[in-house]
Amino acid sequence: MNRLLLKALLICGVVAAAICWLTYNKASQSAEFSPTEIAMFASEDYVGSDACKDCHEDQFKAFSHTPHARLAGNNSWKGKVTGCESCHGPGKAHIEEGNPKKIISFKKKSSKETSETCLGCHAGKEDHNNFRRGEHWRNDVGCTDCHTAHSSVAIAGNPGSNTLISEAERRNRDLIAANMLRGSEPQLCISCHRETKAQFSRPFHHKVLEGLLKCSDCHNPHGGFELKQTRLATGVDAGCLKCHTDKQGPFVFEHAPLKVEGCASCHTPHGSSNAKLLTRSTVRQLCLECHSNAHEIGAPDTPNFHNQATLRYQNCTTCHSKIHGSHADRFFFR
Amino acid sequence: MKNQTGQRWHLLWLTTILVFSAVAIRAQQTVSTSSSKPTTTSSTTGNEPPVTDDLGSYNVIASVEFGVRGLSVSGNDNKYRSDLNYGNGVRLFDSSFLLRNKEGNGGLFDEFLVTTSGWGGDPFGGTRVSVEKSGLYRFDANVRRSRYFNALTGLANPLNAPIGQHTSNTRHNFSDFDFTGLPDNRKVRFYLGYSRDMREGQGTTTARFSGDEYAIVSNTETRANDFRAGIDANVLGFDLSLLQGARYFHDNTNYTVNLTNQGNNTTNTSRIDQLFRETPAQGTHFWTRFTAHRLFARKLDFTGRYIYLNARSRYSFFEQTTGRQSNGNLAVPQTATARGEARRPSSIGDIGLTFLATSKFRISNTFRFDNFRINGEEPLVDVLRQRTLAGGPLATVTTVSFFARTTNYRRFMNTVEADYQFTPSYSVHAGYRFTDRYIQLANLDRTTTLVTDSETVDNQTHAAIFGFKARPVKAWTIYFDGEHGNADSVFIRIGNNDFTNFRVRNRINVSDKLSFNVALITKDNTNPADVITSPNVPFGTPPGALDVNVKSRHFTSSVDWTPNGKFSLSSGYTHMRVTSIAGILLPINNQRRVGESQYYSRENFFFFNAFVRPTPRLTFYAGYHINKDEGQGDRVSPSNVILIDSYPMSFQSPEARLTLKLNRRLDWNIGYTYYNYQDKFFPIQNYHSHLPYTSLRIYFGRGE
Repeated sequence: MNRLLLKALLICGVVAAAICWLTYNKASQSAEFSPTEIAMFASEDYVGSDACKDCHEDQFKAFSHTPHARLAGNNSWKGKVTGCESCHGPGKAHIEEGNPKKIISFKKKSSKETSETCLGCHAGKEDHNNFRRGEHWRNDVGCTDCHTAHSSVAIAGNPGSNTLISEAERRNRDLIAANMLRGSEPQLCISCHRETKAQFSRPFHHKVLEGLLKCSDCHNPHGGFELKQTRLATGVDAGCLKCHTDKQGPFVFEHAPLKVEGCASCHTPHGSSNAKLLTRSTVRQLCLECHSNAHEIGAPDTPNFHNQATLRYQNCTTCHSKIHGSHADRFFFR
Repeated sequence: MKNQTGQRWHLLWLTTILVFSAVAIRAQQTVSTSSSKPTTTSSTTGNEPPVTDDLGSYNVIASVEFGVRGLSVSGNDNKYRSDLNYGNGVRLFDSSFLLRNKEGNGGLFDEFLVTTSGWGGDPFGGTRVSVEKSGLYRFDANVRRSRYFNALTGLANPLNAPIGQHTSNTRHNFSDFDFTGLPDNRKVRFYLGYSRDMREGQGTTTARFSGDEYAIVSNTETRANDFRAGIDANVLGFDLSLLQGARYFHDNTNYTVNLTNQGNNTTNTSRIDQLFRETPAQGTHFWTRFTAHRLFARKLDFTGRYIYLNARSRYSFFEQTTGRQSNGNLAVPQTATARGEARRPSSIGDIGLTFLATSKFRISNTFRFDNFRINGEEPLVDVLRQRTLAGGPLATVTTVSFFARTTNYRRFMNTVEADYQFTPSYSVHAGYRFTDRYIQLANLDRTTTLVTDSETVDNQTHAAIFGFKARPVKAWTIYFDGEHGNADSVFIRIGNNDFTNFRVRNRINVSDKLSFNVALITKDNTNPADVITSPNVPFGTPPGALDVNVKSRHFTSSVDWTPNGKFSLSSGYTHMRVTSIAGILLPINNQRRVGESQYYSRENFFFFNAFVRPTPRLTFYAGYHINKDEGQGDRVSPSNVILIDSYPMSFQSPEARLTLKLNRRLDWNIGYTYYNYQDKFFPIQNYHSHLPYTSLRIYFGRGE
């Protein structure tokens, strides 16, 4: 037993040593400039973006087509640092000495540190202002994982499926460039969230792969206060109700889980083999799993005369057809 | 002895492999130029700046693809239309049109972009417009349509007919228009928005009358118009945002039966000769959203949000039915009317704080309060005029009822979490989420008697969240996160009570031409049920018999390889596995029995996409995907109290396309798509379809 333990420790030690060697010299170099130093940059240290062009021509060309490049001509940005130096800091010392350490580089910064630079300007918009408390931030996925300030966007200009994502959206770099994305939705999102491709390929699905909807129609990739970073519709309601307006209500007779638990308590919105995107293949199983009241609260029991041995009572919504809510019948018959 | 020696060598060999693998991956860093960024298929063609055509002071980059598609469907045409609904004929496959001012300073606009897709033989399509005058305005429009067809065997089919009784053939048109004034201004921005949602068409649904159910025709008509106006401003260092919105909704759907309908229950004599029902409803939703944000001293990030919604629905209900009742008498007619309203004021308040303690350590707290109250009333008058089958008069029966419902909901939720960045390549996070919910349901039913009922649910949930990100080498990133929670009770049995979820993703970007993705997601949910004290449970039910257990496992892997501009391959495999066992109470022959609801999904998904460009003018694309669900396998229900269900099916589609570049402006395409659907439980729904097509794509502004 002791020998086995020693062997296990030896192997773990070797693996740990390998990992340490691999990560040697990976200590944070994100603090070339401390926040104090950044705050002390003098205005005469800034040289303007044109000075960067001589050595960084590719980046300059890519940058010049972005919305960032147009800020210099905007009156509200007069007197503010725009262009390359708004992110990379003043370039005078870097140009004079030719020293890469005399300019802010993001190559060795963490995703969060890089994102802090973007948030310096972009945190104020409602869509972004909860990014620091969102799922992407929590999992160390930063702004530049999806956006690029000046890289040449590698667009899939090659032909693809005739029915999945139109060529216009696949090829059109400018559609992507409007938001400075590295790729188009949903390919960009699916590059990490691979399991969703399988879900959207089921017989019944929201038409995301076909381009009718985008991931960002339902989810806010920049975080948000909702779980799963879902969006809200008409103020406080679930994003589903933006399009499924007939389910919004309010109804006299509400099917309580719809409002209390949310649509996902019964539906799987990405895709399902069930035509109504239910989490079960048949509706009666879904209903019975709640309407079997072993607790003292919640869903009422299924009445005894609903004989489950007969086909007539195995299709709950044949009678309870207005199951999302009704004005006219307490049992959702009409 | 021999075994020990063999084990020793085995362990040494395993260790050697691990170390050498690490060295090999580390060596890739010397040639890899990518970090853990999402990979898109690269193309030298895509990266080259386009040669543009000119229209005055504007560059033009545009393309349009139009052609003709054929269609041949064998098998169940209704199922094909419910799944896909692609048609044949002339099509505008897609188009894009970009005008960009050469100097970046046009007159009315600097950029004007229109893209369309799916007009013609597709069941859905859209047009997007984006216009921008830098610094002055931005306008975005998105107009979409969808034809929703649904006529299936397995849906609402108590008679086991070829098609169920819930069908749909509707059009859904929805559009969004958004205007932003001064979009790049640091101090103030303005917003105006309008959205329209329209749904109409025919279908069938079901209605109840005199102890039986009947398929009836539904004529759907709903409309919603949304208006939005808002302003963002930076005031005293705070980023403030105010958005005011309004939705006006109406539903004029009606239902009819014009031919005598005997109903689903063949054991009773009731029938419907005519039915007309309408429930016109008008709804208004007025809402206000206010947001404030500020970063204090580059250390404390604050976001606050408050949203208030005042929703109201006014309705009237009218239903008139003539037919024969289950007692043999004729209803000539039975008329039900009601008029009332439902109201829902609701609000959400959120506060988020993040303290950037150091450049590596952050603490966040997010607090939410949300509540709503729904009140609604229905004063229902039911008048039954009747006569005997022979025509003799019978007394008119008038029933006046009143129903009222109230739902009160209040929730507090607080999440505190911290994250620490050891190095740019290693970070961890951990947190705790607490939720307290109070739900009250109150009913008042006045028919021949007055019945009131009320129940409350007080429910607390605790959840721990945790995870890390590791990048041992530049090319390899691991994301791991987990959540474990429990609740003291649940509002719905299938909701999360005791749950444990894990997710791990690996992204390996060997280079910007080759990347791998491997991920595993597991979810476990257990809801124990109290069978001892519940009066509804049959005596003698063993503990645990009514528990709910749901397990799901998702494994996914993929590879993307684009070695050059002439070849690209993308392929992947996903396995999705769900096992749900829920104890249920189900009535069998008028007795409540303890049973089980079992659901299984064993789904495999595989895809590949490949293109090859053997010559500069010739491109060949091929793709294939298949979803195959084995479902419950060989499991068969041993009794009528054990429900075992799944959806075993196979859905696959190969596709191929040849593109010939005729000249700088013109491509000719010829392609073929095949769909095959196989259903194990409803083989009547099987189909396969052939969709050949040919098209021309015309370009403006494409290089040689």
